Parts: sequence; C-alpha cells; structure tokens
Amino acid sequence: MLRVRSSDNPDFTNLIHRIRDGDQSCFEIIVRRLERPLRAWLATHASPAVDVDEIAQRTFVIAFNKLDTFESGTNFAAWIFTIARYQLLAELQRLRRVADYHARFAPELLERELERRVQEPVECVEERLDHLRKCLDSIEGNLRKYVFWRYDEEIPLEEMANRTGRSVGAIKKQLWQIRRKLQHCVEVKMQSKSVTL
Amino acid sequence: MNEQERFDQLWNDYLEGELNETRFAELRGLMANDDGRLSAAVKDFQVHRLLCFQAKDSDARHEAFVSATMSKLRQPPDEFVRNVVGKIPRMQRSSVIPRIPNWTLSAAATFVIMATIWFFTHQRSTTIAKITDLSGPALWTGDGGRVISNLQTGTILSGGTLEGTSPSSWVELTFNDGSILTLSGDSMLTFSDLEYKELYLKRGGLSADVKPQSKPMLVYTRSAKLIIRGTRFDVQTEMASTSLDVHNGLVEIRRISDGQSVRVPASYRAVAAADQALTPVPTPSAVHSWESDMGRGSREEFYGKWKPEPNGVGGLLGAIPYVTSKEKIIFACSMSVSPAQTPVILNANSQIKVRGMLKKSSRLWVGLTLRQPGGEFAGRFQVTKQVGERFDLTFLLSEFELDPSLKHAQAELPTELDGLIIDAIYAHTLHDQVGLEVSHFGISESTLP
Repeated sequence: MLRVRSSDNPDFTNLIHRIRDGDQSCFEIIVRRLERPLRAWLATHASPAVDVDEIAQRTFVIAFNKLDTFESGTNFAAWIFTIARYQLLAELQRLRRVADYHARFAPELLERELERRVQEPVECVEERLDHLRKCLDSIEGNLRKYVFWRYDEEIPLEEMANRTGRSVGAIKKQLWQIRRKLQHCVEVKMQSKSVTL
Repeated sequence: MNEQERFDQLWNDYLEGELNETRFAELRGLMANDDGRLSAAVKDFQVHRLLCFQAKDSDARHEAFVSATMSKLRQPPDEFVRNVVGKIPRMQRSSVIPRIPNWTLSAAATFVIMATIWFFTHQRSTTIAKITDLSGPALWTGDGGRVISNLQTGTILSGGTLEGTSPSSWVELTFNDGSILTLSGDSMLTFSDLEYKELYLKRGGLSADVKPQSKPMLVYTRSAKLIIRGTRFDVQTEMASTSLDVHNGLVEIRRISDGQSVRVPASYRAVAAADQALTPVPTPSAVHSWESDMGRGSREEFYGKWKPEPNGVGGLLGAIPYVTSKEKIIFACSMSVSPAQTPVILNANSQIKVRGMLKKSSRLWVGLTLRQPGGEFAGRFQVTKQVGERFDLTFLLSEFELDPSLKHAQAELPTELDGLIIDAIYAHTLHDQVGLEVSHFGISESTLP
C-alpha cells in the first residue's frame, strides 16, 4: 500500500479519462504532481550508479503507454510507483551484470539492502522530505553551513577544511554527525504523524 | 582506532567518493561483520541522498523534467521503441533443460568457449578511442543506442556520436593510434574507425591532431568533405559553410555543392560555401577586438533564444536552461567568437563588455572559453557580479578567474590569459530563471595605461 499524505493523492480519474480520450496534455498534470515524490523515492532506494531521472522518466513513459491497463478506481499513484519499482529492479539487475559494478559503485550488501527496501511498501517520501527541510532549519546555523557547503554549493572537503581551520577528517565526521541528527529528527517526525490512504 | 571508528571513517570516505579498491574491500568486510553497521549505513545513505535531492531540486529542474518527459511521449512509435523500450532489460525466459547426451554437451561447451573468445576479441577491436579529458556536460550515444551522460576521463568508447551539450562543453578524444580530436562548445560529432577514420561533424567545432594514416581520415560536414593523412587543423561548421584552418601538414577540402576541391597547406584557411570562392588564403592575423552582431537573426554561433530588440535595431540573446555536469540547472547564453572568423586574441589590456537586462536583480556570471594558439583547450575563465535589471558592464582581464569546475585541471591550464584565443563568450545566471537577455558582447583594448 502506498502511504501518502492526502494532498499527494488527488483523484486522477477525470484526468485518466481525458488522456484515454486523446487529451495527452492531461498527462502533464500527472507528471507535474508525481515527479518529485517519485524521484525522491528513487533517490533513496537506488544505488549510486542508477540514473534516477532516467528511471523516473521511463516510468512515466511506460505508464502513459500502458494507461489502458490501469484499473479504474484503484490508487493511480501506487500504480505509478509499482512501475517505478519494477523499472528500478530491472536496472539493478542490469547493473549487476556489469562485471566491475560492485567494485566501482556500491558495496554489495548496501545494494542488497536497498533492493530489499525497494520491495517494501512505498512510504510518503515527500513527507519525509518536508520533515528533512524542517529538521535542517532547526539545526544551528554554525552546523547548517556545512550542509549548505557540501550539498548546495558542492564545495570540496579540502576547501571546507581551509575555511574552518579544521582537518578534512574532522569535516567528514562533522557531516556524518549532522546526517545522524537529521535522520533521528526525521524519524521522530515521521512516527508522530503519518497518514495511510 | 577501533573497528567501529574505522568503519565510520571508510563509510564517510565512500560517500565522498574517496575510496580506493583496497579500502573498498575493507569496507565491505567490516559491513559484512555486523548487521547493525549495514542498517546504520543504509539510513545514512538515504539521508545523504535526500540532502542531495533537495539541494538540486528547484522549479527550473522540475520544469526541465516535465518538459523532457512530455517530449518523449510525443515521439513517433518507432523512435519510442528504439529510445525507451530498447533500454529496458528483457525478461529472461524460463527454460527447462532436457536430457542431452554428454558428447553434445562437450561440443556445445567447445562452441561456447570459442564463441566467447571470438566475442571478447571482437569486443576489443570495437573500442576505438577513449576520453582523455573533458569539461562541461557531454553525451555519448553508441553501442546500439546506449546513451552515456556521465562521461569521464578514461571512458573507452566504440564508434558513436559524441555531443557537447553546452557552450562550455569540451571533450578530448584520443584514438587507439594516438590521434587526438577536441570537440568544443555546443557540438555534435559521429565517429567510427573501421578500416579508416570517418567523422561526421554535424554541429560546432573540432580541433584535430592526426597521426599519419595508412588510409585517409575523412571528415564530413553539411557543406564539405575533408581528406586528411596526418596533420593538425581546426574545422568549424555552420548551416551553409565550413571553415578550415590548417596548422600543420596538408588537408584537402572538397565542396559538397559542386565537388570542387583544393589542398590547404599549413597556416592557410579555406571556407567551403556556395557563395564564395574555394581558395586557400593565409590565416588572417589575429585581432584584439571584436563586437557581437545581434541584429541578423538567429544564427549557429548563438547559444540561446534570439529575438529582435523591441526598437527593431538589434537583437537580444535570451538565456536558456541547461543541466551542468553536476546536474545543476543554470540559464545561459553564449556566442562563438573566433572559430569561423579571424582569431580574437586576448592581451594584457583586453576589456570584456556585456550589456543586457534581467527581469530582476541577480548575480550574473560572464565568462570566456579560451584555447591555445595551437588549438588546445585553455580553460574557462569567468567573473561574477550582482547586477540590476539593466546592466552595461566592462571587466578587465585581470578580474577573470578559472571556472571552479575546472579546478581539477588547474595545473595543466595557463594562468596568464594574455595571448590566448577566445573561442566563445558567455553569460549566465544560476538556478532561478530571471530572464537574462544580452544585447551586446564585446572585446576591446583599454586605452588606459
């Protein structure tokens, strides 16, 4: 079952009818509504070698072409995520056939664990993302700058070390501690408020 | 350092892409020893990925994704099948193994071994070149339609199409025989090397340093065919003309429209176009000043969306979005400066001018893509400034600094810009669409001491 907040799961029935009648532009509304949660979900479940945007795009193209097989009255967003799940699993299978894949991109155990989680019920990623933003706002500015430098500005660790007068190792450790704090904060928020549709 | 601390250190190095093979193996071992570590690592990985996602997320990226996805829906069925379905791994057929006599299995095994040897031998022969340096976004399409967008130095390629997808793109390709091609700017090149090298320059500019060839290398553009045995040259193609500058050796250029051909020696230039004589002329002397001409409508040397100026006198080159190699969207416009014209060379007194407008005040980047007199890439150098809705800026050469995305190649790039040729001039804003439109680019010499 797809767990989403209610505003994430509008009634797509009317749009689907119109697309089936030939109004392709209605599909754009669906893409606009679902692309962010879909890409965010893929980003957290795909190993580093996977091109998340490509899988998301492929998912929408397949959904569009297979729209006749969608069962009216069922959860359309869940249907899209199911297509994405199979596309992601297929991509992971393809990557495993690349001989040096594990040596280059991800420890095999990490990838297996991610693959296991792909098959779990899809949670509300957009809600998780909202919580992450709030948690980021709640950490003190001195620590927040590390996140901004690393993720928004993509400043090399050496440069961050120069700016702060700390060692590269200390910067890495600092980032790791911040991520743990954020993870804990998000988990607490997710547990205190979730909606199942 | 205990085992847990060591794991934390290796894990952080992994996320930062700093693990070598030995330490990678060590990380795998430590992960396998403790389920708790794996669980913690996955959680940390997911937070890391969400932070990356939210940092790169923007309305512009959202629009670009929606637009790209919708354009794929509109492809005709055949193209769709090639581009999309062709990439989806096929389902493995389930099979039942019948009882087979042993001799048949032996023969089959021999066949498989021979076929495998042939396959790998054949595979080796189809890798014809590798990327030896690159900067900016680029794509390679080959191997039955496979598209690679994360090209890296060392990527080995079979024949296919290499595409620079922005004005700042630059890719150096080295063939197995040591011949080097440099593709720069918004450009597209299809290449193969079976019995001889065959190149189709469909868009943009190419510099080549070709080793002596047993069979001539052929370069096709829309308006010309070049025949090369071993030389150094630059070629630039536009809709109706091809400009060739030879630095070393001799190149034959044949005009497609009437089959006429000439041989172009070193330090000479020829332009193949239907409306001018195909005659080699000495390479023009360099100049130090240049003015953009925005008034003649959209042209190939523009990167951006052209429109006439409201007063009807000139034109405006509007910034268009593109995704950088770091998957950030910026809004850029650019103009080729030297390739098809007289080389424009920087000197210590050079001034760079840009005039235009924005819908709202924003930080603006202005930059130059430069090359060495021999044709080699010399880097991108830029300057940034907060500007208002209308701007008319003049920068001194000394204000320009190396584009940070080229920091990895800093040691190989010149530090003095004096004497370098300007390939292109560009302007861009970052992330948010603020309606950048440029009405004028210019290079001049300061008269002040």
